Amino acid sequence: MRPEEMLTLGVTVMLLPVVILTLRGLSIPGSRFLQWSYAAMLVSHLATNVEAYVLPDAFNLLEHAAVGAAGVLFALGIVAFARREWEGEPE
Amino acid sequence: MTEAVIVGFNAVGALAFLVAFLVAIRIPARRDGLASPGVRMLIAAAAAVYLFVSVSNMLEHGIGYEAVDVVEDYSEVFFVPLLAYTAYALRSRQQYLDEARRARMARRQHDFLLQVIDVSPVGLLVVDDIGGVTFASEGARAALDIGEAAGSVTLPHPAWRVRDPAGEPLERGFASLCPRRAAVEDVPLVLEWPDGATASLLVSAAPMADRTGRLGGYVVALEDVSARRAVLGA
Repeated sequence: MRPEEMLTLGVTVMLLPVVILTLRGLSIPGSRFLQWSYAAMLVSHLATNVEAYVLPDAFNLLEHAAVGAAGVLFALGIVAFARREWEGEPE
Repeated sequence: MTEAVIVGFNAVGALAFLVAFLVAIRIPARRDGLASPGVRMLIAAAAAVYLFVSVSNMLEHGIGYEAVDVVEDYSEVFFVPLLAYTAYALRSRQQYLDEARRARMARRQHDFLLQVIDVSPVGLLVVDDIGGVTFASEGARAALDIGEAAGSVTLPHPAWRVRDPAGEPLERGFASLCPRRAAVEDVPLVLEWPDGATASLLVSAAPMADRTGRLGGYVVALEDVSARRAVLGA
């Protein structure tokens, strides 16, 4: 386990309530995708730290699978948000 | 085999973050939109960080290239704060837009009410607790010859006096109509102008609370019934 990986996990855990609560308070399409993207990122950071202790191959795979999932969810969230901005919000 | 799967996962991630980056920089900056230039920059930066991370992972697990691995590990730290600040910026912007929308609606309602008041044949006044006129509709201005405010909250008018039908003057003008702070309706009054001319009024009034809930004055609706009286008396 490397210090930068612990640092990333620490920051992700510390900002988890801030990000989730703030995103939940937003009435924008795509907010749910961004929350799940954050959750996937958290799984990735957890896995990369846990792999140093148990099931290194499995957790390494999980780490990268979670990054892929986080990317897809993040992109879906941003596309949904961008569509709202392109189309404009009804008054 | 495992390495190939890892490269595959990162390829999916890289493609998705690339899409998010390209979409983010193309979001239009609308005046009534949530995406300020700062928000777009934050989203694009977050996407770029993980685009770099995914590509670095692909290089590491695909061809064993690890030169940027340390930089990649540290750059991962930035994604979450960038996402957090994006969410915070969006929330602030949304609150600002909601507030602006509420203010716009209140202004529209205010303008609508002023239009209704101005086209009403009944004159409307707001008077303070000593009888000074602080607001007059167009109808009331014409009937009572009330002028525009000039550096004062009390509107100027000729020194007319308000009397009851028995001829007793109301010392505080229209503010004397609600002695127990209760609304009154259709009270006949006489308006006496400085030159001795008179007008018959039918007046309704109700007390009005200020922002603190205390008495802030009275709203008065008046109708000049002189012509009607003259016809009935003739």
